[in-house]
Amino acid sequence: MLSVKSLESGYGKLRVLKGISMQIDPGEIVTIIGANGAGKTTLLNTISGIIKATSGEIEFNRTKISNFPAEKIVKLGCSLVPEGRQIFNTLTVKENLLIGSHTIKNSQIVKSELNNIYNLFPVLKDRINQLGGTLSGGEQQMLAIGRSLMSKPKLIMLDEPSTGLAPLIIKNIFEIIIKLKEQGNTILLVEQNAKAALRIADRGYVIETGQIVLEDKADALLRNDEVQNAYLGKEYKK
Amino acid sequence: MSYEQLLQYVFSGITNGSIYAITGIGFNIIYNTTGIINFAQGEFLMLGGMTSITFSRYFPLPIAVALAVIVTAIVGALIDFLVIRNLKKQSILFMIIVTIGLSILLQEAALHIWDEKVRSLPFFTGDEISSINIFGAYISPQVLWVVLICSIIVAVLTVFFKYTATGRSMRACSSNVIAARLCGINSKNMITLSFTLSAAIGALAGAVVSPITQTQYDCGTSLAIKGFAVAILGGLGNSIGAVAGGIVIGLLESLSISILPLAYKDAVSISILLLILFVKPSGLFGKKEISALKDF
Ligand SMILES: Nc1ncnc2c1ncn2[C@@H]1O[C@H](COP(=O)(O)OP(=O)(O)OP(=O)(O)O)[C@@H](O)[C@H]1O
Ligand SMILES: [Mg+2]
Repeated sequence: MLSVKSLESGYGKLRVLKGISMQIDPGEIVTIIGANGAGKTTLLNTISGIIKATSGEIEFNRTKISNFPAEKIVKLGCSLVPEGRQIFNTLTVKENLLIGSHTIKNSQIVKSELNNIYNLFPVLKDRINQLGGTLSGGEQQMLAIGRSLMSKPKLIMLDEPSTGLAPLIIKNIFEIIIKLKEQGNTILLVEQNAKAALRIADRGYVIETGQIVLEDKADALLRNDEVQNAYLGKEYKK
Repeated sequence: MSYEQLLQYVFSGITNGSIYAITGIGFNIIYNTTGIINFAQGEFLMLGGMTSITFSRYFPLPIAVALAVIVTAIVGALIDFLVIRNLKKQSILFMIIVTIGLSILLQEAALHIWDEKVRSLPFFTGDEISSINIFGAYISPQVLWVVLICSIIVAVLTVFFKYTATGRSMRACSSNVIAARLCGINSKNMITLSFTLSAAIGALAGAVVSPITQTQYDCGTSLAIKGFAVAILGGLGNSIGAVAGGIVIGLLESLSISILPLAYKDAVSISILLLILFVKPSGLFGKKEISALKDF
């Protein structure tokens, strides 16, 4: 579904991604784990067209998207739930979701998608007229995921959906991700919370200073010594 | 001051205030999508006035005004399409300086197309001596036109931003442009649209005040300063604030005439502008974070 080859990108003179190659097959949950500043967000932003790749290739469903602007990439069905949620503070919950369906012209589909989201996140339904900026962190994350789903994406990329949330809400978000996979979605998940991410993922990549240093099945990564030491914490071993 | 006199001043304040409010809203629309203050906003009013005067020689008044609005809207769109969109350096300060240049350019162009003569559009109904008696004050029917058209503009804009998909997309861009792009919105087109819209409402305002205030190639500057003061007073980006700010400045200005010499009229709005910038830069109704966002 997505294939990235020797991708390089960065900010001005700063080279952040130094030749990343990875791929995602339909129906998978793939996770990318790595320390702060490793380049995870840069990778997702480059795939989604927010940052221009300086070299390398990105293919989405056999279309070369390396030079496409962000608004065109989401139309193809590749949607990013950005780091820090980035919801529209001055728009209501419902308006946020409707903006999410900007690429869908059929109002019937928009309506049924809206209902799906409300079923998935009942708290949003209770708050349709509340301004996005007044939601709690967890509600904002749900709104950000819901907004992305409104475009009926083929691939959903989530950038640290659990950051800053209470354990119970995190559990809830991860359950939603599993549910999305069960509904046939393909998911690319970036997480600080490596343990939780690897537990629900099929495969994983470990990224260090802009390079993929390890890739494997998720359960193999969970058992990997280096990964345990660096990302899972000592207590995990026993 | 008699009651009738006071009422007279109040009406004149509301008339000017409505125009300032519309100019302020023009500033706001562009500010909200781009973060820049478009100093060529006053020139949209001037162009609207000038072109409708020219068209009124060949067409009935309503058609002349409609054509003027269309022509000015195209000028607005072109400004973004040819200039703003192609700037290599998209910094706020840089873009603001470019709009100052555009304002001078448009004035010079107007000077060449027309000349430095003062013109005015015919009164929409009646003529300069017709008047209507309202609660004892005599006002020109054109004043009612001004207030009516300004109210319609505000109402239409409110509906547009609140209830249409395009208006919603523009608000999304002003709230978070990256997120808007991630949802598939072409933010550059939204900026073009905001210039077009600002130019169109500026032109309409410029046409409807022309019979009262008259139109000249450089009349945009003072209107722009007033509109800017109003936008700041109401809190940049806040259109209801601009309406309130417009009425406040319009009223203060016209009441000042009753105590101070006429020459001080413009000084009033400038003083208010400075006062607000010193004391409460976020404006009377503005949010703190908006003023913190300002890059200049
Ligand atoms: N807008 C920017 N301008 C310049 N440098 C940036 C910018 N954003 C990120 N960087 C730099 O790029 C590097 C990678 O950052 P990135 O945000 O991709 O890391 P990350 O893996 O997502 O980290 P985290 O887990 O903290 O979110 C960092 O060194 C960071 O300082
Ligand atoms: Mg990150």
